[in-house]
Amino acid sequence: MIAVQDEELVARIAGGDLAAFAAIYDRYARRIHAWSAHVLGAHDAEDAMQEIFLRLWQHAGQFDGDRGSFTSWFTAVARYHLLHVLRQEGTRRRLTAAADIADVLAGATSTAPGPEETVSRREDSAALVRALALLPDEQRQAVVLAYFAGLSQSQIAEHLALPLGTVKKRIRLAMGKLRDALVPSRPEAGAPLEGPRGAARTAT
Amino acid sequence: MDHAELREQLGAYALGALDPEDAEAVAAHVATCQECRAELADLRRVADGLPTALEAASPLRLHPSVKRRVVTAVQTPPRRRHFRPALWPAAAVAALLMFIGSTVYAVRLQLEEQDLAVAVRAETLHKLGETLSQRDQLRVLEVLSSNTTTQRSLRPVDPGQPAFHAAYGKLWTRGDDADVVVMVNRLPQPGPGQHYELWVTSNGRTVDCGPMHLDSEGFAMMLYRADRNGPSYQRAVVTLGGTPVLQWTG
Repeated sequence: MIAVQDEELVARIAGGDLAAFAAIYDRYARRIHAWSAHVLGAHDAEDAMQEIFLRLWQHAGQFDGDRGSFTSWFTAVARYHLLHVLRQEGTRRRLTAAADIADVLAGATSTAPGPEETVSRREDSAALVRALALLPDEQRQAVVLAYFAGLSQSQIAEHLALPLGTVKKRIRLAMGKLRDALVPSRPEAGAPLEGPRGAARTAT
Repeated sequence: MDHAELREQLGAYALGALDPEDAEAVAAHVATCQECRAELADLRRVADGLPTALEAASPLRLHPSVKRRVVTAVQTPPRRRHFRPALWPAAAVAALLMFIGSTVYAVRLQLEEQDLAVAVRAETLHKLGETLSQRDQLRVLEVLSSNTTTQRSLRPVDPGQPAFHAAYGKLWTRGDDADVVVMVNRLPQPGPGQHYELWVTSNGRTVDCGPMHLDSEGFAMMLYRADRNGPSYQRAVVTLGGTPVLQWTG
């Protein structure tokens, strides 16, 4: 059986299809929950989840498949909301959340994919988890502060009392390693590409 | 910055960790550089994969009952102090009419006679047993009658579109309080699964004020509590299914 694509489901959600919404929930709920709980704490995670999925329900019509994948769009929706809530909590909370997430990622050894995960997603996820665990602590910390706590490179430099150049270097090195783990056969500079996204290259 | 320097920033750009000026420079470069565009696509896959990696690494488990809560919630969106004039008690409408005749006009309320006729007619037609609290009625009147109140007019984003040609809205803010009153009128009924939603932008930050539910006449009103007294907005937008249909830009 070929699973219905996210992009088809989101088009149906835009038309008010609750079953399509429930299907997307099944695919993304664990991810949004883990993210919300580690960033905001277990107590606020369910409220955040409800708000994020409500936004999906209300704004599914805004998704434009020509500009990227549904995962990318929905991840941006979730991140916008979580960072918005986190910013109201103050800097200390953001640093604590980032430290917690960095610890979880550092200690990760195995993956437990959900029932709705496709094979390629599962492989991507496992490769990224391994690569994150293998990063030097300071590089993992920089990536987590940027992505999960929403701090800019300059803010990270300020909070860690480091030169900006050091933070830039850590992020550059970390992202390069994570990219190599996810896309090992990326063509070198100048090679022609078929599409705007990397999905086609890993599908073969 | 040259190509090599900009390329080094792509990872931070994908993470959203660049300061605005640097982000603009990278975005402009990526638009014209195929090599960096391909690199950025890969780095974005990394960034988008981070929540998935956290899910896989996390010991936390999601309780199955949350699904029911979320699916129920989207079918009954939270009613954030929005209300319909149809549901106002007659006394509140009468009080509003008296304000229109005197004070409110002076503060540029400019509610058209027709709007009030709609409100009064709807009031007599609908008795849904759901009323705005007395306190919220008073708050609306306070905003409309304050001498620190500023009114903004929302106009159709695309006046050429027949369905929205006659639609309009108004937004009132007080200089000395956080209450904001917004009304819209002559909007077409939303399609299945669609809602009208109000958004305001202040200092570059756009806030979702919540859904606006039309009455049968295409009229809706909302009482919204801003995060500060005397909120200063640069933009207010009403969207339908995520598409802007009415807006005011300062």
